[in-house]
Amino acid sequence: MSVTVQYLIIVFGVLAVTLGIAAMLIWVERRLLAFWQDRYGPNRVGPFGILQPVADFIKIMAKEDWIPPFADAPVFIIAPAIIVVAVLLSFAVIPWAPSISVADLNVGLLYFLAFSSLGVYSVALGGWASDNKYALLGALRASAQMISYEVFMGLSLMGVVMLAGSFNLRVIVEAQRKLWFVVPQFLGFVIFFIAGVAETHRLPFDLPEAESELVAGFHAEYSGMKFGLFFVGEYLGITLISALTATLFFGGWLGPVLPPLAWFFIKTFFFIGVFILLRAALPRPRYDQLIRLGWKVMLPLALLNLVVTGGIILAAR
Amino acid sequence: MLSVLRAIWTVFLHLFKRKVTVLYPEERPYIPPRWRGRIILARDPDGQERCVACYLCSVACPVDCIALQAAEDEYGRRYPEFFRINFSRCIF
Repeated sequence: MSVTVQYLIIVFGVLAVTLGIAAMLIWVERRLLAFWQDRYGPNRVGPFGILQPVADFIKIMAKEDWIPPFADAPVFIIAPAIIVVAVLLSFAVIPWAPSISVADLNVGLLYFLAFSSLGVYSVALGGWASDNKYALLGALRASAQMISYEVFMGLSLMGVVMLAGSFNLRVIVEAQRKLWFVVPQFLGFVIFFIAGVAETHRLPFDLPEAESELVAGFHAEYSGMKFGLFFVGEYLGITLISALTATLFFGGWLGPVLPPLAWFFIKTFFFIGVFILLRAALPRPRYDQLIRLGWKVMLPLALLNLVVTGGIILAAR
Repeated sequence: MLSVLRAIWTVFLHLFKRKVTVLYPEERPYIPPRWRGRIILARDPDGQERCVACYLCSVACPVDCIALQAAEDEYGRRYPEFFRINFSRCIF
């Protein structure tokens, strides 16, 4: 009985915390972007403007929920939900602390890769169902970008898997007691993080929704809370990639003095900050540059990393 | 590649720079005492228009939004017959 209750608390706790973080990121991002542009950002609603997401939520719920008459209504409605569901399901395997994780899967990393790939369907179907040329172009770009970056995202993580000898995220964290994997796998970390930025189609890799070229890309026809769900999905994606970066390369919950959960949050929020810093600092590359970077630079580098890591492990044996 | 990292670092340092925003209701910007804010035709203490129709304002206005017509009263004092400011064209 008490075990069941404990599971329920963990499941709903994780759900509430991830959704809460995703909502708060709206404010965090606007505030940090503002600081990096010598502004203050939203600071009026509540202390330091911390209630801004609440105001935004009320506003977006009050908006007209418009489905264009030319759109493919069922697909149009279900598309924004897919990304949120896919990313939320990925959170199931994240070990927040030694005793806090929803599912202790022994294929946790593969599970994450599978569900993060499902997120593409949301963007592709949303763009397709909108029956709008800009939305379709955005969806096409998103599909091409995600397929290209998915390939070496998985490959870049194999070095970590080889070092830890397991796909289980908890085992991977425990394997980093002596040394964080960012040291032996620095290349893997850089490649994974770049792939993560592309995977969540955040700036500078936000080609699918490039405002200056495609109006708003795949979500050009979306309004109200459906549009909001795409954004929740995006922020959840940022949190997920940051949490995984912390777990796989920076020792997850491991750390001195502070409780494990605190270390996990500190590391995760650091990478969320890096995500926002990248957005503040870097311009968007051209589309062919993006794809060329993926196939001609990142993929060979990931393969090289894989071969060298494997060779060293074999030699050390 | 290096330039990308340098750009990120430069932007990060802006975290510690002074903000340019003036938080309006709490802090007010310094306004020079002679600031008038809006263009008007001033009146003298008797309530008459304080203008001798010299056309200097009309000439100075870069978008030609001031139009007036000079006239003289019976004492030989110049005054504007009409004095129009086209606020839809004003760029001040």
